[in-house]
Amino acid sequence: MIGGKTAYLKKLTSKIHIKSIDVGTELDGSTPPSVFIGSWNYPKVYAGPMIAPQQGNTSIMDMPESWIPSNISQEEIIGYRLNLVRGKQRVEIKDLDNLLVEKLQEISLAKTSIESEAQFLKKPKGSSFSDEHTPHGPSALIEKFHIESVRWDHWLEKVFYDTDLKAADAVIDLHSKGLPFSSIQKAFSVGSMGVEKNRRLVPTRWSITACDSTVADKLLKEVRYCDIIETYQVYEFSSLNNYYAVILIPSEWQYEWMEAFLHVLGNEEVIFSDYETNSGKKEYSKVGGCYYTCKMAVLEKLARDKKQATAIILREAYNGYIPLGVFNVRENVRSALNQNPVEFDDLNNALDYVSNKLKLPIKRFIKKSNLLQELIRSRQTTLDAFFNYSI
Amino acid sequence: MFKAVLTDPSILKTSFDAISSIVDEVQMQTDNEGLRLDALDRSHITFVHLELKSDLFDEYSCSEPQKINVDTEELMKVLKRAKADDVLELSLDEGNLIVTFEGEARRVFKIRLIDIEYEAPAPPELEYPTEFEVPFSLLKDSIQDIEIFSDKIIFTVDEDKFFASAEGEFGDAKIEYLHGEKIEEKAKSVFSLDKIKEMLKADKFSDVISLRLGNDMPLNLRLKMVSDDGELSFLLAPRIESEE
Repeated sequence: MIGGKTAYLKKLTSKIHIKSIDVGTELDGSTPPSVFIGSWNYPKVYAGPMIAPQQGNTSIMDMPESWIPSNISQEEIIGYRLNLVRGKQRVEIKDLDNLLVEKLQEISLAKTSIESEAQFLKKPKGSSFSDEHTPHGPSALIEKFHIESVRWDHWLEKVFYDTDLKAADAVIDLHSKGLPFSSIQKAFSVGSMGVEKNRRLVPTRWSITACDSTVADKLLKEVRYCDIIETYQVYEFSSLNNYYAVILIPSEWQYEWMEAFLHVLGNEEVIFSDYETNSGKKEYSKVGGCYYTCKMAVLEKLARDKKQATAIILREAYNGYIPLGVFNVRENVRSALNQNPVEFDDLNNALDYVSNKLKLPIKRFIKKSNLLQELIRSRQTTLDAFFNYSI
Repeated sequence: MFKAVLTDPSILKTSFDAISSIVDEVQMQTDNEGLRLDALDRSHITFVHLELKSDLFDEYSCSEPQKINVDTEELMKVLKRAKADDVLELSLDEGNLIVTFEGEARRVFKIRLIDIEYEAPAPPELEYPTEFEVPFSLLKDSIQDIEIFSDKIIFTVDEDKFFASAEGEFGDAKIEYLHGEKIEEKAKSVFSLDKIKEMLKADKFSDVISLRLGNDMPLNLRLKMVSDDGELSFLLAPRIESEE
């Protein structure tokens, strides 16, 4: 019996045995730029750079935004990631004067890959897979670390020196300037933004959700006041053994995320879901970071179009699926919403259409859902039918 | 020239507590009869109407009709700063709504007027089979009772009683109230609890709520001052259960 999603994914990731790169105690390479802050033993966490044992431009290895749009295969992505050797040192999260942390901040602000040299205490070992962060290769305690000087990104540098700017405002600012999400999140995780006395290291997995939900909250404030879409719209996308359907419904903002894992481990068919009504959600989502990242991606689209809608997202993950981190959800949902939608006049027709694309009978999703079930059972009418107004 | 003085700022404050949670911007219209406001929320689910007659104000003058367009959130932030014994004054200058609190000190806030493209919609005239009154506190309490099990509330009224009820996945709740009105037919409609909560934020306007209810019809909820000088009313679109 599979309990919650965390237990399920733990089981899934523990089954993955892929050999990561073999390196010695001395590494002469390049950081994409990339940093990793662990959450174990918080607030004394393991922080450090990730370095690929090769020279030149390695930026693609830590730029999840570019993988799905450029059709990079799962094998290639895993290849990139397992080539990244993680150096680490135990650091108190508030200890930003630490020499290693200062270098991590420099890395996080960099515009390009940086030539790096590292000396490890022992030969780096192992690999790491998780549903939240992107996988990485072997790790070891780092003894010496040197990076070449590097040009900083103009906008990241600006927020780095603005010690009065709140971290949340910085994230929103950088997102609106069009910076890649991964760059914002890296800088956020190494304490490169925020009011000076509040700056700290933030474990990578937490920093991803913090950035996603900060941006989502901001966008939702705008979307709440936008006009409602006029038709039922279905956006789809498939990649990396996943199918995504985003159903936008002409109603005020509400959101439900449902994901089915089908025969990934064996014969299992499990659905995890979570939702929020128009009045929002108080507790942390039980399905984790993907809930916030998908919400962010949908709100990005609605805010861009200056429209409001109820969003139901159905995802199916099939055999061969490997957890690659929440970016996988973010970029797939973004890609789906960049396609042209198929439009319908009512919910039933939209669901009929989607049910032909899903492997699992849609009834199973409906049974598990809260919001979708409610939308099928009853609908919020508008005053339009009763009103003669002119806007 | 427009000037309106209220010795009790709570009327405006409580009204905008509700209004600002429903609409983000409004157009207030003033003329020599008083101040009125009609607004529809962006989702077209709730319509709100506010009317404050000139007699309600301790001092009122409006030489020519004015349209005052404001961001309700900004106005609410200012109204929240009112102290109970402050005297509130509204006036206008070029581009600002001026809110003055006269108390221990004189505090002046200028709220920028905004551009609104819409013409305020006229309230629709609907024929209702039923009309009755319930105490404000009773409805407010009922909302909290219902909230335990559902985010939808079913309003039913028959010859004797008014019912607020909910049927949830984990339980049901039902509140009964003898309305004491002459009602000849039964009426029932379902509404979003959140939407009703928004309206009931105006909890200092009146002790009594007047309700008009039909079958799958919008809810007409009115708060009327005893003096008849002020009215805050809402129209809320129902939720409709599907046939299956």
